[in-house]
Amino acid sequence: MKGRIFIVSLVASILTIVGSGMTLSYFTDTKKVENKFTLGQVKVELYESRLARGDNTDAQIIADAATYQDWLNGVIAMPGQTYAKNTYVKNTGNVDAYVRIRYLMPATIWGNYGADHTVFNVIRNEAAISSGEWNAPSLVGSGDVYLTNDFGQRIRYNEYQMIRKVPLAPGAMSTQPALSSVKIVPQLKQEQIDEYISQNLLAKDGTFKIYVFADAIQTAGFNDAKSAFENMAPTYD
Amino acid sequence: MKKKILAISAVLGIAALVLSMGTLAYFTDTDSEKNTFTIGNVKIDLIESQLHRVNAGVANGATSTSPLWTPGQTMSGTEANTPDKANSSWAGQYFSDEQIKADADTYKATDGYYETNATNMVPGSSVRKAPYVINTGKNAAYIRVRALIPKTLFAVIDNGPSMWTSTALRDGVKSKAVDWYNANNYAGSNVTKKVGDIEYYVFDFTYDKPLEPGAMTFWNAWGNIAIDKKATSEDLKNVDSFDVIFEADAIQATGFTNAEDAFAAFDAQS
Repeated sequence: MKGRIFIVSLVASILTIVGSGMTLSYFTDTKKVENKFTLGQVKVELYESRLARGDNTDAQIIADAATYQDWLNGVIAMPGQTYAKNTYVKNTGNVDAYVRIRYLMPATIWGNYGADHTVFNVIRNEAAISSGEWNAPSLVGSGDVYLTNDFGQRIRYNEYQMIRKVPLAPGAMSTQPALSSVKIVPQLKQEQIDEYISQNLLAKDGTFKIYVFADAIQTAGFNDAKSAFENMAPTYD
Repeated sequence: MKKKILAISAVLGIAALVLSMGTLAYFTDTDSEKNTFTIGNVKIDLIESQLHRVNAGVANGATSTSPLWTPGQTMSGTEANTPDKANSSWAGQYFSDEQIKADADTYKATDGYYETNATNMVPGSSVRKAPYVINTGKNAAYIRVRALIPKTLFAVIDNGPSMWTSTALRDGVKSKAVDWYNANNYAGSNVTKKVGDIEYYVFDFTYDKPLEPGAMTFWNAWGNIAIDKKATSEDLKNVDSFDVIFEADAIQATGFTNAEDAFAAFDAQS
């Protein structure tokens, strides 16, 4: 009798609950996992210095690079003179990167001494190549780039690159500079300057510009530096 | 005469006793049964492993370039050691529950797979990420897994390089979000959710059959998180990191005839 009374009470309770309009609830559970993914940073700094590597430390080179442009702005280039232009690259990102130097020289007025219209030459650092750190210079694409100077002159440039063969680790700087100097040809004559200006080979104030860019690209996904940079179009900003 | 007096005295004695003490006592007995009602519960664990259940469909001993394939592993799954196998139609090689659980235990360990691969990602990077659900409760439950992908990064994270498990969608797992995605020119998901300041696309994966107590889902609903190799610095400008969230829901199977109805009730109750 006791058992039967209990069952009746239970059913009555349930009927009361349902009859009162309350919805049945269900047993549930929810779990969550949050995953954070961080992105690598590919960043590079280009340093131009009067200092060749020799015994100079990265810190010394970087310190000199801070005053290089001021120094160069004060230079009045003379025939036969050589002006230091040691170009270093430092990986300031947090992943390994392939790096390259691109340099643009006004077409026609650079080249071997004695050639027509030659004003200067950019000297590569032979130690950079013989040590195996850098590839020898090669043209970028067709090699021709047109840039407009402050005087509105549209100047044709030849573009070369030197690619560092091995990846540069985060925080590391290239051991050897890719370029070493710029030399003014000894045979350059005063009267040639005006002629070159009229031909848009020099700017109206008798100056010429050499542009240097440093590029970096992630190593992940590439077998070597050359194929990596085939996937990176040059920019000129 | 003496006997009658004695009897009368006895009766009078008893009557007096009763009147002075109250109710008469009776011989009695009591028997009892204790009824214990065990309340059911619905509890799950959500684990993550780098192991795709069938190792991207690559047989033991073979190699692959698939981002879902884990090298150096031998799948040892058999029907005997994978309780839920009976609920799957997959007939090939697969990782056992034990292999997946063991991997999950170290998945986020210091210097483990996740920490190594989810840090400093660049375009082309991929992290294997396979969520599984274990029923740790007492009742069979319907299971749903949801993947939340940041909406603003969808094009470079999910729209191609990151993958849900297509085989699962042909073998007992349904996704309304994937159906919508395929029908709407791959334009993300029609369901979004805001967590903090970040808005996410939500991709749902509902398992057709209830998961029994102690069992683990056979299929991983998702396979990896990757960054498109064509992503540019502009695409990822101002992005130092991003979050991908996995959520798993469970609801009692009792009272429902199918998973769709169960989760309609779950969502109504939430």
